[in-house]
Amino acid sequence: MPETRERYRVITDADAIRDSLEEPSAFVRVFERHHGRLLAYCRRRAGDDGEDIASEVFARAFDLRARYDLTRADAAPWLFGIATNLIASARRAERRQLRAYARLHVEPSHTFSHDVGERIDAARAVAKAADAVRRLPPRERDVLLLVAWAELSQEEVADALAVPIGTVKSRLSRARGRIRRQLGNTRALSEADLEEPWTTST
Amino acid sequence: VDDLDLIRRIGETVQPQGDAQSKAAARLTERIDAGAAGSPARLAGLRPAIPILVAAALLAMVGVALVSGLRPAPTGGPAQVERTATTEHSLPNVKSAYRVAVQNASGRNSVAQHFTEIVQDAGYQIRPPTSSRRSAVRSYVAYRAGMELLAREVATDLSIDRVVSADDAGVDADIAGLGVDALVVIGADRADEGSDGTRPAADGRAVIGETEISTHRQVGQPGLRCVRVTGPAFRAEPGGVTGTCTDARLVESEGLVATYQHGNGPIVLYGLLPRQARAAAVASRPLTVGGDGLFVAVDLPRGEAITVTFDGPGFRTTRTVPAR
Repeated sequence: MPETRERYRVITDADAIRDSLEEPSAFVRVFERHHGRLLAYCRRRAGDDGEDIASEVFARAFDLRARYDLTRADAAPWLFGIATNLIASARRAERRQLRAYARLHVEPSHTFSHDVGERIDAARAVAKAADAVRRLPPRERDVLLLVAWAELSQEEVADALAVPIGTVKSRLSRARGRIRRQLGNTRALSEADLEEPWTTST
Repeated sequence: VDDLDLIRRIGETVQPQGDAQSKAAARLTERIDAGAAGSPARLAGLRPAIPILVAAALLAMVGVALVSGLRPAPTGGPAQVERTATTEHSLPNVKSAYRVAVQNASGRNSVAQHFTEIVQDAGYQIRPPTSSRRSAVRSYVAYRAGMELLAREVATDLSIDRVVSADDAGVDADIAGLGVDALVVIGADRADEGSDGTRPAADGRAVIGETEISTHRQVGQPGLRCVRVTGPAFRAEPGGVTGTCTDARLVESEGLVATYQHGNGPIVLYGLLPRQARAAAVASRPLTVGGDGLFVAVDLPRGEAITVTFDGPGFRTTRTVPAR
């Protein structure tokens, strides 16, 4: 195999963003690298609205690229931070999506046991977890889902939300505590359970 | 079950619609086009300097007025219009930032080697073939979270139709250990040749199916269009391809289509050109392969033919395309 390692240098997101200040098309690299993951996350959080949100993330990121901290090679936390802000303005869509997860028959993962009874239990547990997530205060929910769904590290979440790492740890801990407490109550969900637990304003 | 595990399973089967990425790409392209004309970054950079610039402009106006004795500006002459030079751009090699590994689960070293070369020549960073600790029923491309599109592109390059998440494939530990974004696992049932359209050629090149993949993308300048050039020969031959242009024409529905003949078959350049470019021709403009030979940019104003210059390391071909 010829000298390919030398031929291709690693181009970081920061490199691409720096290049895009002179040649805007260089920003395409950031899009191609992160859009799929960000789209999946936004779609999962905000349902159909998530696709527009993911698209808007990159449009805004392009506009804001001059402010990007070029010492940070990976732009993922920055992009997920923008997404989190946009999702905050679409809370209604997010709650609707979480209610759907809780109300509908959530398909159990194939990694669960094939035993039918266990699969039903697993589906119920997932539905109940969705309801518990829906009941979380938005700031705790943001941290929890950036960790669980976006698979960001706690340090990356701190970057994304522009808060100290200690804040991330405490929000995550509180969120998980609430979830565990709610999961402890194993009765089946009713429609009344699915009413809005927090304020209905968006 | 751990509470985080449960949360990870919420909505895990939700899939974005297929056209979401292309819509988002189109939207970003519009923004990039606008950004090239008046980059917000540049404007933002200028913002702190605006008061200074205004003061400097006022001083300059006063100076000009003093020197010219407040004479009226001359009128009546034709405006001098200087045509800007054609700018050639090559899009960045996006793939170079991704890392892919080929895992030989089949014991077929030659196939692993060929697949590695194909993926490498497509521009990806590559890990050398690795031995597998498990058997694989058939070939697949596994990806780490967020890298599905990458895996699909690699799978297309290799004519592999199975793309799975690392988690589903049970190779997440391998992907993490190798530090790669995607892992090609060569299955035990991959035939030596023919059966799946992918086979090592006798002369050492890999032949991937019969047709080439062509896409296009606008770059961030009004009137400038970028043509992505790709095909099996490009992927099979590091450093480019020596070919002869056999046909190049403007097609009403598709823009520029230029065909090059090569030992591995025709290579099609496919480009989206401005609608007005399909008018009659009076002059010629260069069209040059840029960068790693995968991208072509062309600025084709109204009423001009184009000269297709296919130029890169180790090859050069030229063809004038009369506009219609």
